[in-house]
Amino acid sequence: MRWSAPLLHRIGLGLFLVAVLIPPFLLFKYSISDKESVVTGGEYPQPFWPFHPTLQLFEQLFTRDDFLGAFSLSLQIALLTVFFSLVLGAPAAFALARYRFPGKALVLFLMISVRLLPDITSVVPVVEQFARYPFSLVPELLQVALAHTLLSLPYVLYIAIGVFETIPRDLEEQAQLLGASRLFAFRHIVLPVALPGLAAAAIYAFLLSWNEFVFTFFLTFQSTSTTLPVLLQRIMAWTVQTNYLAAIALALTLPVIVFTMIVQKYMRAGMMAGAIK
Amino acid sequence: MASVKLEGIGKSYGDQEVVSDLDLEIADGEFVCLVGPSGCGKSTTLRMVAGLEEITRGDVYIGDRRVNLVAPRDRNVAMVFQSYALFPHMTVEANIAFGLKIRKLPEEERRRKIQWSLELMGLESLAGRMPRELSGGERQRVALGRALVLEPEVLLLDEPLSNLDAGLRSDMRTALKKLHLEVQRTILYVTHDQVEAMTLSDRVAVMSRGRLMQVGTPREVYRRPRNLFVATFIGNPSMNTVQVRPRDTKDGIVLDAGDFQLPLGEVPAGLVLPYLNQPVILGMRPEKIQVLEKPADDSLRAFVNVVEPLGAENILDVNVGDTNFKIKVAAGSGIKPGQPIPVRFDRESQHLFDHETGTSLLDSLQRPV
Repeated sequence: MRWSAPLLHRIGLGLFLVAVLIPPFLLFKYSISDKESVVTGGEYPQPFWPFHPTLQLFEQLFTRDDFLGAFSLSLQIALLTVFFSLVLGAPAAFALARYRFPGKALVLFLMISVRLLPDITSVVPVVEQFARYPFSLVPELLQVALAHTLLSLPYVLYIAIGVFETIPRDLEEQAQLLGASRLFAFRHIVLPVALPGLAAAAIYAFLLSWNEFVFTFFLTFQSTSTTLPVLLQRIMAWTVQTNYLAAIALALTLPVIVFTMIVQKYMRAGMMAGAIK
Repeated sequence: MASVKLEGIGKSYGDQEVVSDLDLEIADGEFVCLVGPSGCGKSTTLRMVAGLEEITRGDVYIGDRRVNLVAPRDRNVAMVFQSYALFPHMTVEANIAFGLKIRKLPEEERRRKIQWSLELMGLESLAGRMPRELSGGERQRVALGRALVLEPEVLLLDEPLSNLDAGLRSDMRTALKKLHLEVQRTILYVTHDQVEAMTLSDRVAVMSRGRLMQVGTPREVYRRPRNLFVATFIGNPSMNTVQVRPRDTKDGIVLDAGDFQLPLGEVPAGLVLPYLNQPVILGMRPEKIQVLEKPADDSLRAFVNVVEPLGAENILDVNVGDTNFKIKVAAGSGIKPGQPIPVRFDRESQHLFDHETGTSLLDSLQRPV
């Protein structure tokens, strides 16, 4: 690496950095702003850095029932989505990766076809079905989690197929020769080896659910409790207090970081190293 | 321990036949190599014995038991894959213990067997390592140890040495041979390397295009190849082949190659008579052609194209007329490219094959070697 990059490149890099860093900076700045730094009444410009930085907003936030309720609901739904996606996706992916059967390409296509439609289109039949008996009996929490699973499953499937395809068949066959049943070999050999890849799929499913707005919005339309993204929208509808919204948005990123850190433990690189060759 | 018997087994994928009508018997405790070029069906055959591949036709017996429909784990066979297939998330010890745990052996017995296997393969100090921390040779030994710890009746090895570098391969070859003497298992070993097959096994089974070409001791397949395929596949460098026509002359039958003529060797004249004036294939091993000090009555004049030194030996690429031959000579003979040399073809080592079928003319005779 040379230090003397041409001036033009340096300017380009600098502009890019600024563009990327502006949104998180603004979020952070607003979330720790005192009222005077945001509501200026046009008498003075907003300061670059708050006059009196404060964590007061977060304190308020975490004592609000609607926020805490939405936070907890979001978390439950996201974890359920991860659970459903993996329980349904991993075995399906394994079958698609390992076995040849007629119409395999079609099955694969149909499984991911949900993602060919815009969310706002597929939301209509889904919400419609959940509004009718007997699906209307399904608890709302589960309705939303299942809808999210519908969205994440194609991705989980794709990631997991890729993961299983990298695991040599030799390993299973060897396990079987050593006395394992197919199920035992899957459970004790294939799954542990696939874990790092499946962890990536889990993070993906979690993020998708945590972030999802359209389906949740329609499914929880009449409900008082909802997830964080929809709560954000509801609050936005009656307040323009920028610093308050910023604090909520920032609070939204926290569980993502925590979840990713936990799951990352399983994403050790080079899991397959040493199996073959 | 047990014998293995393959009776007319075949394997097809749809219309494509990859193994056809294969008969092979492996005696209890015998070491047999299945050898052939890649794609000849040798691995498929091995996998049929293991139970990893369905048998389309014929029967496989292990001992007296027909195992066609027996699950792999109930056949009492162990296999070492070309890839070794070590479980990457388990230590060496856990890899070896895997089969024993499934069999729910008592803790005490399990310990003893693992210890035995670790010692046998010289892995004691590596027991706690993960496969990724091992060298190629060590991984190979773990795979063998894991197979042997279950005390299988039959040990199946699929190209176990092909992932090792040359020096290590030769060491492991010796180690495998010692191991066989020590544990006395029935071994079926698949390789594409004829040197491996010749050096390791009690008997060699040569395959080509899904068919068994010849089964015999290494000496038999080398000395009495039953067809052109075996003749050219076994031996390094390959046997020289040239098309000749047997002619009846006043000096007896001679083989006329156009550029030169050779008296018929030890192939009985009676077998050659039907082929008089017809093309047949003459095969001569490179090591059975002598380079003489000076021309003699029965020598031919050869012209040296290339000299390939191999250390103890040199391979000469020569022409007699337009016919190209390889000759193996001891190193240090001082022969240089561009030089004419007198050569003599060993009469006792002539091989003659049918021009069309490639079958040895000797094949109709059942002669001891």
